Amino acid sequence: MSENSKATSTPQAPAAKFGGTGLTVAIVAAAVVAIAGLVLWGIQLSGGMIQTNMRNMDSWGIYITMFMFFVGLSAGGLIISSIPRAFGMKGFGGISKVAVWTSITCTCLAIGYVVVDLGGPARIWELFVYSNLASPLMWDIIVLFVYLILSIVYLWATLRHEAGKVSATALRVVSFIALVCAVLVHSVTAWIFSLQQAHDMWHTALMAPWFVSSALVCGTGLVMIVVIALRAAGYLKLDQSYLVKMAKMLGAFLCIDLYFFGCDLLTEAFPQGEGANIVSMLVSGPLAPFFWLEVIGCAIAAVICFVPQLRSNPGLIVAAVLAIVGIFCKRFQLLVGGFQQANLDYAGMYTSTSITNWSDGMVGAYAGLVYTPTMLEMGIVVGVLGLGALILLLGLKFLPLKPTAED
Amino acid sequence: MRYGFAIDTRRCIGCHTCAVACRIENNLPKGSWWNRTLTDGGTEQDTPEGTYPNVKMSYITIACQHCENPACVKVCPVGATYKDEETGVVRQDYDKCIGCRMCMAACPYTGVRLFNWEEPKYTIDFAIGDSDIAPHQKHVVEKCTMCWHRLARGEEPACVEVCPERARFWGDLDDPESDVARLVRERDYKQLLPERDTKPSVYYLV
Amino acid sequence: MSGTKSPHSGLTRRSFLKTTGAVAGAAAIAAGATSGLTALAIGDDFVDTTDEQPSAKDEQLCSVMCRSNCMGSCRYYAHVRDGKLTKLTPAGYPDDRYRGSCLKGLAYIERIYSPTRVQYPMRRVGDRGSDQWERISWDEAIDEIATKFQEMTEKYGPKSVVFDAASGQYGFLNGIYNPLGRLSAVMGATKLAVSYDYAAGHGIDRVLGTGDWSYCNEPNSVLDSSLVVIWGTNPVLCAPQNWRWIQWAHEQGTRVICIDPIKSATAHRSDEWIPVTPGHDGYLALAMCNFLIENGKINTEFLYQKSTACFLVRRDTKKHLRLSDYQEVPTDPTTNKPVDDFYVWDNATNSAVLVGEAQDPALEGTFTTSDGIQVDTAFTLLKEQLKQYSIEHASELTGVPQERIVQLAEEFATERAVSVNITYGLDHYVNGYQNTWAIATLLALTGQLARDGAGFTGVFTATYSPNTTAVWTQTKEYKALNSVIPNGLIADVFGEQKLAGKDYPVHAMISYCSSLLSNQPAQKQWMEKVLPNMEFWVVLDTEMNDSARYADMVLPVASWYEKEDVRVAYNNPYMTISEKAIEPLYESKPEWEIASLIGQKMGFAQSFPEDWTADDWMNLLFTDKVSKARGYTLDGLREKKVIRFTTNGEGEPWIRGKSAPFPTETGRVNLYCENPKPRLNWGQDLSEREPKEHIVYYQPPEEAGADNPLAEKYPLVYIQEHSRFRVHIQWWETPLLRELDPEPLAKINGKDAEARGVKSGDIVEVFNDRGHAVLKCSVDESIAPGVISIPKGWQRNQFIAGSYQEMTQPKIDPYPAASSFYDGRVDFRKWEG
Ligand SMILES: Nc1nc2c(c(=O)[nH]1)N[C@H]1C(S)=C(S)[C@@H](COP(=O)(O)OP(=O)(O)OC[C@H]3O[C@@H](n4cnc5c(=O)[nH]c(N)nc54)[C@H](O)[C@@H]3O)O[C@H]1N2
Ligand SMILES: Nc1nc2c(c(=O)[nH]1)N[C@H]1C(S)=C(S)[C@@H](COP(=O)(O)OP(=O)(O)OC[C@H]3O[C@@H](n4cnc5c(=O)[nH]c(N)nc54)[C@H](O)[C@@H]3O)O[C@H]1N2
Ligand code: SF4
Ligand code: SF4
Ligand code: SF4
Ligand code: SF4
Ligand code: SF4
Ligand SMILES: [Mo]
Repeated sequence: MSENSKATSTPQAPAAKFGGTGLTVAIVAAAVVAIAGLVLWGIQLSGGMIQTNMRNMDSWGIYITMFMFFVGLSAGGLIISSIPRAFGMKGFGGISKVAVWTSITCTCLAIGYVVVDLGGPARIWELFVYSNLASPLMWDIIVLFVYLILSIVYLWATLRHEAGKVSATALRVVSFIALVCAVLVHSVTAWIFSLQQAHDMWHTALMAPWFVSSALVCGTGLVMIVVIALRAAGYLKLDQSYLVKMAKMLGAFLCIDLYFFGCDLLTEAFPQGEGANIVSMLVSGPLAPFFWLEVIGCAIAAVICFVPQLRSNPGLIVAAVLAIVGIFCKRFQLLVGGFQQANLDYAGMYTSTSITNWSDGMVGAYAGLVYTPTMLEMGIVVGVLGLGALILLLGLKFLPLKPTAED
Repeated sequence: MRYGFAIDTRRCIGCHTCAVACRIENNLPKGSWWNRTLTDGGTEQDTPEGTYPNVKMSYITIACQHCENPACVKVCPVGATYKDEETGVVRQDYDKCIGCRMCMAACPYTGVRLFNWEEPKYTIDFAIGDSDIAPHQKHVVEKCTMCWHRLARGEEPACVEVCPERARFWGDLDDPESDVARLVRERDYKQLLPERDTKPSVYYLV
Repeated sequence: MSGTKSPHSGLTRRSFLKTTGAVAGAAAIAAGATSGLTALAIGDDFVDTTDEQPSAKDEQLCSVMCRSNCMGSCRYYAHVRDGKLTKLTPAGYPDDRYRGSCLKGLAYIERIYSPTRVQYPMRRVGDRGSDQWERISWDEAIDEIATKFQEMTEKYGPKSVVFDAASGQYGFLNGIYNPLGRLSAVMGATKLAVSYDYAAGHGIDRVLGTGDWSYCNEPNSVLDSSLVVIWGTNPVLCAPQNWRWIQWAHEQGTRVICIDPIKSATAHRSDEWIPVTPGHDGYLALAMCNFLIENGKINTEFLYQKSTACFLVRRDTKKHLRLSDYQEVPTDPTTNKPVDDFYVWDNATNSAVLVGEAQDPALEGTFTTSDGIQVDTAFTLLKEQLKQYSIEHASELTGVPQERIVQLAEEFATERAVSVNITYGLDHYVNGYQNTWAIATLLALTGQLARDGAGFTGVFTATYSPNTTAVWTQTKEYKALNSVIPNGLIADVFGEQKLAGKDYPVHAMISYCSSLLSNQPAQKQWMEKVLPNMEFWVVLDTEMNDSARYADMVLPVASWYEKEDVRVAYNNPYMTISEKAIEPLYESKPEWEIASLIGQKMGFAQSFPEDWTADDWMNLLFTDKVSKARGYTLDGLREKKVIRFTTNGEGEPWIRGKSAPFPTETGRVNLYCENPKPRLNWGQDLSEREPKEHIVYYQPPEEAGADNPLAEKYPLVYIQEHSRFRVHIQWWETPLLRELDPEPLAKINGKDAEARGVKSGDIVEVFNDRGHAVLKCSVDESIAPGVISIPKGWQRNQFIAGSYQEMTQPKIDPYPAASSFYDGRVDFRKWEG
């Protein structure tokens, strides 16, 4: 990256040539998956959400998990690319456009997951007409849209800047705003959960900063994977030192994230009260696989990031994947964990719409995981992912996201 | 004015009459119970806690608590659930609800808010119950309306009317002369999950 | 749950944090609970406000009432919109405290519009029980029934056609008293007597003379009781409209004790629960009687004045010494009975004198009259008899500690007013009538009768009944009402074609308001003995119960709210009308109409006049003296909707022996039963039993006894809770209620479960020599070890295999002729498929 890039360079050129048939095939495949997802969504809407495994006492599931997860990914990418610019540091200029595009894709995905979770998507317009500004969900919707627009502006500004049309200062301002927004989007998403007194698992002040740290972890991880993949595919060139830098950052973020987790667990467990139940549910209860996968995966990832000998390309991929999977586990565990604790566990009549495993009674329903997605839900999840892939690939194919020579 | 309930758990025999009345009055679809009679005892309905012969069991009926500080209202992005300021009744606007289920996640009394997970199904092929109730819709959230349609006509809620043990009282908690206010004043009571700070308008007399 | 760590141990209930009202303490509670609640308006000039009820604009309200055999009779408003019943709401009474309802009453609407409802006449086409039917027209159906009945009559005699009605519906026009009874009488067919719930009244009748039913005080009487002893009944489930009064009494300070082998729903809500082993309550009561006599704690004043304690009993004839032993006695023209006074021993003159003339009657003693007749006082005989019943042995049998038994006896002696709340838990044993006979004796000895708040409560039945006999027998074509065979015997009669050793061919049956196949014990005998000899069985019902499923023809009847009816209540003092709220659905018809159709087809034109409407039949009901004297008419009832049939003041409890004298010969309670008679006489041999029946005694239960040898093979006493989700079988397939109570459950104690390697939710087979049932089990620590309960009323196809009704006890005692469902033993094991 250079502050005085030449207006003469033509960013469009390389993109057009990238990928060839392989990319086209991938685009078609993604489109097919996305369309299949649409069909499944149609089935969900017409046959009813009874076909999901969400029920009245565990009323959110994999869609909201994915929403949280992708908000995280999106913000992470943007933060990675905008911090250096915002603070005028020498960063990862070369990949910043890809990173932003990835962010935009992830934001779209996040929105997509909220939409497929809605019972009445046709009434979505009401959000803008009857907005209840007291609702954290409303905040989130606003912030997400602002963020999406800002990301696009930021990308556009970067491109215009490369074309010499936008000043570096302006770009810095835009990147700074985008950064603030990325952090906000995170905090607000966290607040959707943490402002609710209903679920002990969610009701913690730490949630917002912790969401940011998790976002950084998985955002960095995602960018790393994309970069390594694109580099291997010849889309861009990037010095290994940047990757190492990124890996170190990832390691640092992982440590911060684990530190937050530790703080939270300690605070929960220490009084030996209700919180202790949450800790035991995580550590040895039905959510334990997710917990341990997260903790151990993140720890291993951190080790890989910090130990130079392990920082080979495959090593970094492993670390990044572990980090992303770890954060996904955390999201799932957070969401399901909120419902895994019944506030009112009186025995009585539970019907097929009360709780996922209702047929085993109250005890049975909470004995294992209170919620697991159905095939339809997984199908829609994959469909939305297909949409994401489509957006990502289309961008790679048609947008001038390749690093310019100076990068 | 703050309408609320006082439910005498010493009188309640767990007979489900109030639950069934609610269900019929509001023509609730199959599987839908705005008001439930639950067992405070063992892990299954009508079983006690403890070991024979030292066993204990009582009942609690749970519906929307019409909280003074309702968690559900704050989080609804479109105001489809809202508090009627005059009466304190927490209401639902089916036509507005986008089915995001924020309110369900927010309400600490899980199970009182019900989402219609599919096109409502009924045993009987015409609308039973009161004719003044709003039709049920797929993919929206519903809950106890405090029988708004009856209050509007000056009647008490259906669940109160039917209780064979006269365990349910309804009225204006702000009116010191009302049965509910008097009972809350004179009797020991409990409230559900008071630590969640929702300030429920349902008092369980003990 | 015992032993097992609950898998949701991670979940803790913290639903309640206790905050507190301003004033604590019992006083505040009592004040809070009662003021404004029990002090509800009691209107002397009650006018039903059906027409003025606030309701949605497009609705019409009808006055109706619930008619199942639950110990209530709730009145409702039927809300009708566009000719359809849309809901039922509880309707009031002059004393609003009687207003009530329950989940079943409200859910009846689903039985009306149920897709499972019988819609048109159907003839069996497949094997019995295979549930294959063809639709036929009413004409065909009536033709076939008339033809078959005539054929049977010609071939085997009219008694071979059996009319079966039990307790499914208590309306006087279409329920169990409907004009099909008249058809049986003009045919001279067999009209079964019901054997459900007849032991309790039979035992009490020996003391109070109150017949089969009329021994209870009005439910509101418990407000005057200082102690309510709930003995072998579960009003919380079975009589919620009664429990309300007990709860109110409790709030005013009345103590409530519950005697029950399990911690029943009622025991859970009582001040004290006294667990007993099943079947020995009679012994327990007799031991208490003995204790009180031995310790001089009986109420001698009551015995002198209100009982036959002093009456002399001849050793030679075992009869009372009466005026007729010495001279001709006149006959009372109104009752047509001899006016035959009793002798007592007058200590003042040391001679036998008529009861009214004694200055100092002897309570105890054995005497010889001047003419050499050896006599004892009734009390002396009783006292002698009771000597064998000890507190120690009572404690051994029942498991109640001796001190508690003694204390309970003393409570009976010293409490201001004791109400013994009984229904039919003690009844459902072969020794059932001895249980209640013993308790009635205990009440007599302690004088806990005929006073405010004292006596029995539980099943307050009419002090007035309309003229149902007119419906059945007042016709010139009347032939015979053969109604001495208890339905508890009919399986045997079908099987052996004999009654009491004599030939009694039976080949056809018509059932209505009854499901013998569902509700009679030892269900397999129906498959094995009855069905093979049943040439033609027609069932009238709204739903396909087990009887209907095994029948040859099923007729659709109008539901309760599709036909007009009249009812005199259980457990409240009112007669009410049930208007026809909606038109009969599908091809269903009311019973009176079906009876007329068959009757006319069979040629009984006079008994079933073609132009008779429902009104003509109902008008017949008000043709008796009492109705006329009090001015009860159909039109009056239609206008008022509710008429109180008790003759005391509104709100004033009707007390047996106080509001009207006990209907014994002398108005006194009997300590000695001069003429023990079986409830029904079908020719059974009583020669061995008769001598024992004069003075209360204990007879062990058939199987249930703790000391029964069968206990080794079948360690569990088997009872069948009367569930709050059904009345007997009724509502068994109502979808709304099945959401609350989806499937049959065997309720067992954790210890018994553990011993058999079974845990909650497992499938078990409950079995004995009579049959088995395969169903889910629920470990329920309210159930005592050594007891198992399967809530009753499920139909055969709701079990994985068998049915809860296969294992039940078929034996009936020849005196009360009452079914003994709980007097049986079973075991269970894990079901391996
Ligand atoms: N194992 C076991 N068995 C028992 C008992 C027990 O404790 N244990 N209890 C016994 C007792 S106490 C009793 S009283 C009996 C009761 O036994 P039943 O007298 O047979 O009473 P239900 O089962 O209430 O009703 C029988 C049928 O009447 C039908 N019915 C209702 N209304 C009408 C109507 O208007 N017209 C017609 N035609 N039919 C109608 C119902 O649909 C039902 O199918 O059961 C006895 N059976
Ligand atoms: N909801 C509902 N209500 C009903 C009915 C129904 O089926 N459902 N049926 C109606 C009819 S017809 C009847 S007959 C009544 C029956 O009404 P209840 O007599 O009240 O009911 P049961 O369930 O027969 O028995 C009552 C109690 O007796 C206990 N018991 C059993 N054996 C013994 C014993 O040996 N000693 C003592 N002390 N207790 C014993 C049982 O554990 C049970 O708790 O209910 C009527 N009401
Ligand atoms: S109707 Fe009354 S007694 Fe029955 S469950 Fe409801 S509150 Fe309790
Ligand atoms: S109980 Fe739940 S749904 Fe009802 S007002 Fe309170 S928070 Fe809202
Ligand atoms: S589900 Fe409906 S009522 Fe609930 S928060 Fe969303 S829009 Fe509001
Ligand atoms: S007030 Fe009405 S809506 Fe609410 S629980 Fe009672 S009957 Fe149902
Ligand atoms: S079943 Fe009994 S308690 Fe229920 S409504 Fe009918 S009469 Fe009343
Ligand atoms: Mo009965």
